Amino acid sequence: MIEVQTDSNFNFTVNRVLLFLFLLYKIAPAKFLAFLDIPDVLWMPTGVFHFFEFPPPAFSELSVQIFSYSWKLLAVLCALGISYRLSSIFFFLMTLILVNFIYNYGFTPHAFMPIALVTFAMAFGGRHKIFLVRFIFCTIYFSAGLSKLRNGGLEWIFSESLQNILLRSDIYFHDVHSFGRSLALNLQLAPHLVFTKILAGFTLLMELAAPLALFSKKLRYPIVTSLLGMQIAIYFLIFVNFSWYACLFIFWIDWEEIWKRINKFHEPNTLRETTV
Amino acid sequence: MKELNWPSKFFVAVILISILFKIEFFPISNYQMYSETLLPKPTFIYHRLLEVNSTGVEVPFRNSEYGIFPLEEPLIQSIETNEAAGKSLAKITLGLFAKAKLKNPQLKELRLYRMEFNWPLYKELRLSGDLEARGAVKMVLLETAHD
Repeated sequence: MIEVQTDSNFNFTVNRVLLFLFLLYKIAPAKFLAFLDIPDVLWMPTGVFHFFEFPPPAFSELSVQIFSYSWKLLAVLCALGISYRLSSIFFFLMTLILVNFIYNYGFTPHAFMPIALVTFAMAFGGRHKIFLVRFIFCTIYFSAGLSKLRNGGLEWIFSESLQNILLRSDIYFHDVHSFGRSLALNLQLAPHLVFTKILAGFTLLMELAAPLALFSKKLRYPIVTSLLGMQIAIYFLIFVNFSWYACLFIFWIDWEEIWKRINKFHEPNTLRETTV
Repeated sequence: MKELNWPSKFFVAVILISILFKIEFFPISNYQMYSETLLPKPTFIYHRLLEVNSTGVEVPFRNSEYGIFPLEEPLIQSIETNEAAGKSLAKITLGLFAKAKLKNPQLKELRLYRMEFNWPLYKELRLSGDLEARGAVKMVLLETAHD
């Protein structure tokens, strides 16, 4: 069975502040107003919008502005822990609407939805919010690995699949992340088929092993750091930026332990000072 | 798990069911998307594949229609000048359309389909394609759709 730890106040507070400030930093600059100018013909409802067959929205510029500022205000309130119970619920609902709104125009930054789910965990997770965020973390990676097996099977590892991805990145993502592309690591590695197969195998292994991080404390850090390494490698090899997931990774850090160690580190000095 | 409150238990159950039974609950659909985009294949492109033709010939491996857009000049201009749309699939589809139009000036519409990945087809393309085609299977698919 999975041992569900109760959040320590310290860890929860640090994670809460970092998460909401991060979301504020990442989402606030987005130009949601621009979506209003997209022709209705490109409105393709997904999720609840599809279920209820919502027509293209007739939002005014003012209503979008009000929505946007309310969302930012709620993020600040959540970060500061002011009326947290209520503000986090509203923040979750608004984030959900926001994410789906842009999805309906075919804008598919797929890192958004796990973040929306994290806001659910932070609103409704009770005394186990950190566990719930970790659960989201593990399941998104696990489902990625499972999907690879379901669709490609072991051939995902033992064929030129990853080699193809490295090659196509140059074409498909030719206009993003100029720093990553300037190194052209993908083109340097792609010819080495054995290496790409090993990389594919390691990736799949880590993704499928992700849920173990919930069970085993020993395996937790090797798995989480490997997944972090995988995300960094994806940025440099495939040019996809998953910086959004930084706010998921922070939930694995034991801030309380770090704080204790910092205090311990300073303790002898303080003692010495007092004895002198 | 007993310690969790009921919304958390419900949440955990929904996620597990969606993964195990491949059900795209909202808001879990992104779990599927996330998986697909990391697949070995140009699934992202398949997912938003553009079928371009002027003859109405159907691409055999499509499974569900995503949308058909008449390519009228105002729409193209609107997309080209719109920053948000520029980042969306519209940019991809227009890019593909422009390339296809060079080959066949008679093209009149975009047909966009939501695709499931077709592994055997991919293997076939991969084996038959040259380096560029293997690197950009979308172009191979475009050719296939065109033929």
